[in-house]
Amino acid sequence: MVKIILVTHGQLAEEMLETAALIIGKPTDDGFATFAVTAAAAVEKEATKLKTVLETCTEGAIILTDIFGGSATNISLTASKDLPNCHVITGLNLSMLLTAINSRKKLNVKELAEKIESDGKRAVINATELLIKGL
Amino acid sequence: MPIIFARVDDRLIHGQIVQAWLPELNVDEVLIPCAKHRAVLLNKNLLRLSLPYEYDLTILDSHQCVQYARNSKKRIFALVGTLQELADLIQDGLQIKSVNIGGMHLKDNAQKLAENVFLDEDDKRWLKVINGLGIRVETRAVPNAVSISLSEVLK
Repeated sequence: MVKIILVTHGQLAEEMLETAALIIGKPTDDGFATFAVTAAAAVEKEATKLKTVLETCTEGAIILTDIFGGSATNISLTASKDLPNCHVITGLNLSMLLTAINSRKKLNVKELAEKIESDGKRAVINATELLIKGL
Repeated sequence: MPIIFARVDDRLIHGQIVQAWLPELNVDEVLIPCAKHRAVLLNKNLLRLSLPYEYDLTILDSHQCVQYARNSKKRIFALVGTLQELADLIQDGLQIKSVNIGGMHLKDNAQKLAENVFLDEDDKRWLKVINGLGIRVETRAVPNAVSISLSEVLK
């Protein structure tokens, strides 16, 4: 099964996973990992640590990071550079994580990456305007 | 068509329903029964927006629901806001074997029975009525959580 790895600044990754569990329950397997990037972290060193984890993901991994251009993403891209079955997707929001949890058993890594990306984009809505305009 | 699943949840459609229950249940429609005096509290547009478009949403007066479900060809998820509304449905003849108590949130003079289930004296009375009609009552927020029987608690 595809492994889901959350790499973010600070404790966002861990809190995001906790919050997702609040909504859909705690995943019962070890298909998830979180990585906190702190101010003191050295990119190369963290990337090496992450790469060690990625190399154990035989069916591929999806790395969800907070912002494009940030250290969390840079570390993830460095770590996954030579691993074709790893996809780094930026802009982590709760919808993306819920999609990842719900769909990871049904899709391969490429399909899952596409679904997470599109669901993540679909989740950004000016809900007030939508409600006024109606469906 | 029988009711596939019945749940009492005072938040109606929210994250647990959309992200956890619907992917687990093979249903076509969410049916929300609503007592007359509570209809004004429902934001129907918001409920429709919150439910993924592939599911139908029907909101009906409580007393029209049994007839509706009986004639429907769809697989129905009955989502009810209060125990009283559920008791009305069952007394009208709604066929269910069990009900899931999903969320009945904190209020005054209520006893905590589970993480998100708080029952006051009225709720307990309705629950006893429902349980007395031979319907199994369990609580669980999401499908993969541990199911706790409330029938025991009520004794």
